[in-house]
Amino acid sequence: MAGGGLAIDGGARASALRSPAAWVTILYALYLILPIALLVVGSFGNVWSNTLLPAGFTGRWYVQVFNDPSFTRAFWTSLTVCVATVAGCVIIGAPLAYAVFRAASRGVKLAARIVYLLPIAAPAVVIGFGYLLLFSREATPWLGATWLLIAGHIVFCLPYMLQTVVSDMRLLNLAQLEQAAESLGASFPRRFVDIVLPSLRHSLAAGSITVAALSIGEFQLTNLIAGFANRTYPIVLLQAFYGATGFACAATVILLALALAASATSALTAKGASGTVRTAA
Amino acid sequence: MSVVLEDVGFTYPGTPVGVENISLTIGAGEFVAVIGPSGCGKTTVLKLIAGFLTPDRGRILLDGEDATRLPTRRRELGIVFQNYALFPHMSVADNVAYPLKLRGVPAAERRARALAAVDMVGLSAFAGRRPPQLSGGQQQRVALARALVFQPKALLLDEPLSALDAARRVEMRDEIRRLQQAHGIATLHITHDQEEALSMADKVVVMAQGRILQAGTPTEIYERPASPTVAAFVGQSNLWTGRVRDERHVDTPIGPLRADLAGFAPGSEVCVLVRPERVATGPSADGTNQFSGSIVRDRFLGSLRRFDLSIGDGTVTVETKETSRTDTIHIAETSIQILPLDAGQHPSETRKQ
Repeated sequence: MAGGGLAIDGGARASALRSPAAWVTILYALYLILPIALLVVGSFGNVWSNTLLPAGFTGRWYVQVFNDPSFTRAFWTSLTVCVATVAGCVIIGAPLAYAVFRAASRGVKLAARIVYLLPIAAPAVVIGFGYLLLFSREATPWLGATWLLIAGHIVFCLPYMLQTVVSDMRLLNLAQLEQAAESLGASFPRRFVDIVLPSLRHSLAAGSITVAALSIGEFQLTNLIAGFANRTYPIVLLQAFYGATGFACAATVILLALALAASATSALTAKGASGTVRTAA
Repeated sequence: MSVVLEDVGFTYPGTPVGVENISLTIGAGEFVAVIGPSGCGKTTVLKLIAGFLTPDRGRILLDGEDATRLPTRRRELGIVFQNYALFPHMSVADNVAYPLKLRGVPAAERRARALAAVDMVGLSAFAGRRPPQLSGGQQQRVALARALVFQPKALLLDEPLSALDAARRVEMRDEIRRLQQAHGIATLHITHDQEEALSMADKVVVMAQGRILQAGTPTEIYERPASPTVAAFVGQSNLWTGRVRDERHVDTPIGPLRADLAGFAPGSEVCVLVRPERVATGPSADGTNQFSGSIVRDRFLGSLRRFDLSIGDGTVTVETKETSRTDTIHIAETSIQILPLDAGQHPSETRKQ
């Protein structure tokens, strides 16, 4: 009987592979993964010109990237901007999301929707040109400052944080949790620290992943407002493509690793931080 | 420890919806159930007492003191919500200890008191769990323990059983009543389930369209409803529109009935109420109020049988313990109540199957 079962399983698997949906999924996954896989292969390849795959194995491209001061500096700039952006989005995003969630009036809700959608709808180039105009005046000569770069990233990333957190507030029925806390005797600051923040730890973490990934990879806005001394990794990376293919691949793989690490770390930190706010009996 | 509402009125801003002329007393240790169809304003009454809404008119007294504008957190009320509203990031014990923590009770004492409260609702084994790991009934018990642990002035229950399955619901009725009596706490229970209200409460308040229609003991509400709407909402009923013939007779869709119509003008329209269990099967001794018809619906309810008999232009719903089929019934004069018609409402519209 077991054999019969296996035969049916096998048949099911075969028919799954015949379905067009399965093929679309597989082709799309290949389309996604292939370029990244090629980058990784290329970064370890010694020579790669006019062949399908590179020849020879080497780690020298990575050594070259690590020894290039413009890349190492950009690496640390990107990391700093990313950490500050995530922190800023959590610190501004949590109270702002709360205000949007609790807003009773239609006017406030409309204003909130604009805050949400504008940075997503408006191309980053538009925001960047706005910054160029606004911050290159005599009274506001801050173009090229790292803090301005961080502020720009926060404006760009905040809507994604808000979206995640506000939808979680609705899902948790946070308004009723607060009513319960209020009936038990909790003042507003107590409720916010004891109930609101810890309840949102999952969505703050999820929002932080998105923000970290967006900030690390941001190019358009940064390209316009970063100074020469604080160019981020993606900006510097563009130059790499004028040199050796292996070098460009290695530099790109490092960006990928940086983005993944930043996302993972920010998620764990946001979750841990809002978790420790929680008060035990 | 009492709650008093004096002629309270509230209208939701920008709407005609709200409650009006709400006067209500929940005495010390008393269990008051407010029932009514959805949208009747019963939850608004709870929110006004809780302080989630502020009355436009009238006063709310807690323990004899004016609390009309007191913030919720100073009212000292234990509230149990329909969806439990337990804090998902805290354990059961931490949830129950939270109100004690807010009151500055030292850690060791609040832990002991919280565990005692958790034990009281039979969940000692679950004290360390998080709410999402518990069943609906268990979560509701935790919510009760949390609402009672700080010895509030009154307990407010907002449809606490409506999210539970039928078997759990009946069990929790007894559990809530037991805890309420053990604490001797004034309790307001909001429900749309009339059976729940009748079986649990000392006093039942029936609401419709933002007003109180009638308040009384469960027996009073059931036996002597003030209006057809109350009669229709509480329990099963036969409600017919009748025209008064004389002091002793009323014409109804099922035929002329002999009844006491003292005080009703001949020719006027009235509502005739007969509870299904008060309809007797078989012929009457002298043929008074005896009718025959054909059975149009027959339902077996376990301990009872409920069947509808088509007679004349009307239908009589009968409840009986007898299992044999019969198409003849009679109605004793003492089983008939005559009610004035609700203004602008036809009794057939309020009839409940």
